[in-house]
Amino acid sequence: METPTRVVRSVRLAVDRGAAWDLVGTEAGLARWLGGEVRLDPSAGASLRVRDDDGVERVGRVVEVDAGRALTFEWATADGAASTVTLTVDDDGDGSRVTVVEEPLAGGSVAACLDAGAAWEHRMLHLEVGALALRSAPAFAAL
Amino acid sequence: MDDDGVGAVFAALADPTRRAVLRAVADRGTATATDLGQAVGVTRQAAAKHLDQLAAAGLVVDERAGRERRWRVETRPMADAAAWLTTTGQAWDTRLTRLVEVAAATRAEDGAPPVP
Repeated sequence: METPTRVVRSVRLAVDRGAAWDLVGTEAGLARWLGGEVRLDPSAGASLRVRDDDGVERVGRVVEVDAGRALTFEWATADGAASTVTLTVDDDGDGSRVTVVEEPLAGGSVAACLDAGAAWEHRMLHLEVGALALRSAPAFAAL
Repeated sequence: MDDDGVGAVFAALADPTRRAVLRAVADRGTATATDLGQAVGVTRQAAAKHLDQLAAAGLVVDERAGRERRWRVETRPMADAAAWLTTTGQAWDTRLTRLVEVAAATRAEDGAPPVP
């Protein structure tokens, strides 16, 4: 059984790739959809703060920007839940496609997000787990 | 278990042999490192190392039975990891729905015809 250890979502947008990047790769664009309150300067090393509509706040740092195509950042909630998020924009016919991948950081924490400094990129994890049943103990048989 | 633990779970499970060890533990209920080494085709020492890493992520726990050290699966971390996947996925569903709507509005603002 193939079970993901990361969240992957993809949507098609009715705008071209350039317009899609304006929404994904700029602070003004991100503020329109990423959360209720968004402070995210999309430049590598910049700190970020996002408050969801439900009040949950995440802080972190931009890891990498591939202008026009991809934005990667790490963020964490106050209780220490840290993860890496990559937003990618691609052409899709006369529109565009935005894909998000979020995966948890092993041992990640708010402090790590804020203090990683030069070691930041080395902490990025790209976990590819082949088969794992997560729902219940009996499902281990399907590993 | 906090979400640091979720990350540790995913990291522990990134190794295919470690997943095989975990599966073998689950199949047997309880097992020794020797049992598990034979089951997955590695040395007892290698199995023990994998078990230690699984234990560090909270996925297995050991029990002493006389001179034996027997391992069993701890299911809570797996459930927590599954919950993280669910809640995180739902959050992105919400955000991306907003993104689609914003993109459609942007297109309308630019005078383009609405997309069916």
